[in-house]
Amino acid sequence: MSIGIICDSASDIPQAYTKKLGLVEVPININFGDKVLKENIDINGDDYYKKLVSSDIFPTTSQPSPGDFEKIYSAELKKHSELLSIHISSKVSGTYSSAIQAAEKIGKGKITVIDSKSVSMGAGLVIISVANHLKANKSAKMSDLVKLTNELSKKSKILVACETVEYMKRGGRISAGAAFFGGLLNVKPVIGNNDEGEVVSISRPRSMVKALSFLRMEAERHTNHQGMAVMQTTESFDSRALYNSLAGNEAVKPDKKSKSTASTDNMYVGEVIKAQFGPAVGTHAGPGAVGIAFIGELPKK
Amino acid sequence: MTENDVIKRGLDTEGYIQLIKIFALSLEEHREVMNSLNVFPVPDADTGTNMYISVKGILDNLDNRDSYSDLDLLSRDVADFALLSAQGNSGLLIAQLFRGIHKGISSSDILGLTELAGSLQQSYEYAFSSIHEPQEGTMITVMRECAKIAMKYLETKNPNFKEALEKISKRAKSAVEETKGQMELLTQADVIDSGAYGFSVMLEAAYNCIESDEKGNVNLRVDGTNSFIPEIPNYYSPKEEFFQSSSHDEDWGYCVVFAITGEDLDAEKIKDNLSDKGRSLVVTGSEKVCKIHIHSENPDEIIDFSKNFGNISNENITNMDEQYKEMKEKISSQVSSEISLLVSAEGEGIVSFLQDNTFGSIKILPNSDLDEMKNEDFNSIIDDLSSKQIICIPNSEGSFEKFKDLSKSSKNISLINSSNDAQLISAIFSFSPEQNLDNNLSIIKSSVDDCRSFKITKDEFDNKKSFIESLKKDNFNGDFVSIIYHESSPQDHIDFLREVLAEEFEINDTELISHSSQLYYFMLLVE
Repeated sequence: MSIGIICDSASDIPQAYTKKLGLVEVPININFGDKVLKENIDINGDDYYKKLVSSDIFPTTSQPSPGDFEKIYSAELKKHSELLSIHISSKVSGTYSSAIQAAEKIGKGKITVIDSKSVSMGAGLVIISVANHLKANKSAKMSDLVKLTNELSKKSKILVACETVEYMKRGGRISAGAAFFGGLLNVKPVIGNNDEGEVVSISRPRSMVKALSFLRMEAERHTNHQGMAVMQTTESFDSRALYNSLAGNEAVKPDKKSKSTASTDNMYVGEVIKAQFGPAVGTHAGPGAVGIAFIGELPKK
Repeated sequence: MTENDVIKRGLDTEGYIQLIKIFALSLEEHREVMNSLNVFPVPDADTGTNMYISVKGILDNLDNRDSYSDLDLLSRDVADFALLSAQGNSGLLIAQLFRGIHKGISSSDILGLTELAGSLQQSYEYAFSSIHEPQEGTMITVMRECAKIAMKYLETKNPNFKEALEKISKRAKSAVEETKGQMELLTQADVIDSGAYGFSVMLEAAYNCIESDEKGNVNLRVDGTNSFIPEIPNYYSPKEEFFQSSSHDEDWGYCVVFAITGEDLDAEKIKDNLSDKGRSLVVTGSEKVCKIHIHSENPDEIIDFSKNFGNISNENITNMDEQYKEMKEKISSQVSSEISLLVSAEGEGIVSFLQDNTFGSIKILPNSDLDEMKNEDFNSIIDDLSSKQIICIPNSEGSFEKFKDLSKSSKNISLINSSNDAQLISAIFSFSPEQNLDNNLSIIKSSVDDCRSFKITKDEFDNKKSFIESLKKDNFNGDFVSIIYHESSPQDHIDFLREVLAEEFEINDTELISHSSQLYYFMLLVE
């Protein structure tokens, strides 16, 4: 029998990919005033942002319950002999711990839960890579997949440039990190994951143009890319500009016959995945936020 | 059958004890969040611990008793235990909830919907009268809002316990969010009220456990996983700025909490007598037991004086100055000071701009001081910064050379190759104390390399046409421009420059920063 891969909706993997790779997604809960909605089932991204902008109520998100996981795990264990469950950073959400609880209860050692230490497509790229590997190597062992997942997680970075700090403030997510001292008006905070899986303040450019060039520069500072994605809350000029500037690299791929999608130098020539931030990140990053995720290494000095 | 018969279903003695357990478990889980939110009345980081201990105390006392069959009797004892174990301001306020529930039950054998609404109303009234000077934006506000919505819900057509609790818990949550705007202190610190937050967590946890069917049967369902406990918001913590502000650096004194037991105690009278002896006074209780909370410089005087009313017990005196200091250190250490910035700048405007806009620790040396600086002075500045790593960011070629010279023998100093104020400002905005040194250095360096700035000397400015021409030649464009102007420049020079930016280059987003360097007149930093 085979290995099945489970993820959560906060990894923001586009539906085309979950379908193609047979990923099973556990929806996170979105609390809008009196209503609890399941992401991608009861509400999609665009509707969500329309509501976010127009509503007086500030929505919150909460992790799926252990019960939600149990249901999906038991159903999937009928199809697969083992499950690999990869989730967004436990420092940001309780999703991982719900998954662990459910796995302990019904897993009997058949379910392995991994903390990706990233969010959104930072986790999504890892999951897609692992699923691709499994697809190409059907007989891959669980221990190999776990090793691969952890290796990729270590190299996975996400950076998000926020158009406005308003939503971070509304969400109360003022970490020691968000740094809203003075000059607040013009700051476009860039936040991202660190090695521990926390989301921290990275830089504070004061125009979106500068912020986007910063995201690109950070991607190019890394080498041996094994995947890249551009995320947006809503379709915008900024997100298109960033996407086009990165996706354009494919056209100038040095050796078109090369099957490898990994770049040998700082230029990534593989496919750039376009994704939308779900509520878990989008609620706090706010409308207009643009992000980049990539798996890459820092050059050794 | 009237509607009342249906909605009278609710919690029995067993259910009520279960409910208190749910409260305690969820407070335990959220105590650290609450501690970190705690800025009012004293930012001493104990609200969460106090509230938890206060509710836990009820359970400890119940453990020593036989089981109860009479809800009225149980709720009376719970109210008394709550008063006895209450700690801190928030603990005392939460004790009012249990007093309110006892009053709300008033010899009914079940805690149903009507009783619940009555209990909340009573809790609010008790809480309001127990505080010497009740403030908006605290747990009291949230209690009132919950009572309001509970009372209103009683009038709906087919009221249902679960739905009522849902409405109450939702209102509590939104009321907690509102506290931020209701009290000056909370607005400044940019946090919600800690005790109010705890109260709403309790209600939400209760709602998560409540089950009611179509007939109106109410049950509490608790599984072993504690999944009913609301998720902890990771990012609640007050603005660091708040703790740096000197206006809050006054002495807080001691937090004094004790119980008075006796006969015919008069809480109102005790409150009046103590009101001028300290701050944040709370007096609450029954004829047999009163609990006092007061902030004072002289705890002994308070205790001695209170012996006039009855027997003193359950004393708890804590030094708030020490608690406050601990919390301030904790917050500062959260924003890591592993790395400090050491920069040079000249002029009041730019110095305060740098101070306000740096996230993390920064020391600014006036260029004139730096020029004259000797090795030993420099070393003692480095020692004072007490950071493992220091990043030096000069604002001129001269100060770059000087920093280079001074830092020769130090291993933990990294020098950035910046040579003007624009590059310095770019560097400041690229620094994050939440990143490690290598990442910071690489991001700061590339921000300095990429920094687009334009220098205008006095002569160039006087010859207006030529500097506009060279700006055009330079393909000057951008979304946001910082105008760094010499503090001697007259307003009409600044206005002229802004006009040029708006009309010739369509840049309307600008900020003004003054400097006093002799090296240039204006500098434009483009982002």
